[in-house]
Amino acid sequence: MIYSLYIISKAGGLMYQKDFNEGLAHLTANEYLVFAGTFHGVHAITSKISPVRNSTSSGLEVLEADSFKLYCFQTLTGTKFLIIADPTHPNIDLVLRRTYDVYSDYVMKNPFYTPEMPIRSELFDINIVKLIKQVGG
Amino acid sequence: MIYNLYIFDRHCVCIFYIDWHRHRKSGGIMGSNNAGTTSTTTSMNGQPDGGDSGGSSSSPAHSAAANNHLASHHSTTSQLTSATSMFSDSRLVNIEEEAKLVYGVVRTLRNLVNKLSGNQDGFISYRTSNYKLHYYETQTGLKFVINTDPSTDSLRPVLRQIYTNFFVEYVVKNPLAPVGHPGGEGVNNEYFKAAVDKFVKNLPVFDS
Repeated sequence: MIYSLYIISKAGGLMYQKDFNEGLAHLTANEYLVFAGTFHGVHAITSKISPVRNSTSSGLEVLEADSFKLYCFQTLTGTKFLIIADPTHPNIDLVLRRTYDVYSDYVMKNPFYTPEMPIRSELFDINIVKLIKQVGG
Repeated sequence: MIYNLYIFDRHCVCIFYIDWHRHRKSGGIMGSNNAGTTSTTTSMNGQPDGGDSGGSSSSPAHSAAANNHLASHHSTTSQLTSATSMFSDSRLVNIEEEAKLVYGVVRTLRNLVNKLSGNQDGFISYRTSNYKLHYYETQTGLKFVINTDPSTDSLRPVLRQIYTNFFVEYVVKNPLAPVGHPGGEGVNNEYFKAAVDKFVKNLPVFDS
């Protein structure tokens, strides 16, 4: 079961947020923005505090909590895709990459879209919901 | 593979730190850097003082030259004072600074998880491409953090055992240990350190 999807811009702004299933606490719009900003900062720090010397670590990839798991996929351009799902849900990595495909197709290829701005696209919405249904969200 | 263990108290202070497997990977760099640091700091203290007392007219140029000379050789090491400081990959990995960052991350994530799930001790661990951080918090607000390689399973039971079997036995039950462990006092005892070290080294995941 997939609870929600977040897309965070490379500057730490929340570009998109959608809940698919009940199960997590509801936040206010402002709290979602704070969540995105906080996560962005923590993600940067986690790559700096690696205990392994002489190698570069990525930022946080999977966060495990008792009632959910949070997966983060950072693209080469710095945009972060976050999926919060049931701890038992398989293959979230694949879902994240397919979300990125949908984002590329319906957001980045839209000539009227301004980069880094909140995503307001009906086609994107429809296709994301379709994708999440497909993978058993 | 287990890398290190932090214990934080309620007041955001790291009261205990121990690491494993670190010396082997970075031993050469750490040794040479430390030697360089100590030697440059002593020579830097000696030279400008001598120049200032010797002749005031030439001292600015002299000290500037000395500073330039030092800066070109060890531009980054001049501020380091403690023996644990070292540079690798051009970033500071002072243990105290690092502990503060770890505390910040852990506390922020705990609050995020708390907000999303409404559960006080919901945060279990997180993983990046080359390490995994495990977290356990006691009712009294002590935070146990252990870093391992990313493929290790949850070590929360291990952290719990460290708390109940060693921390309670050797620190809490010690009548001479102060309340609240300011500056690691009380935690910094040989029994506790040796017991934790032995326990962790005997874990099956320690070397794998």
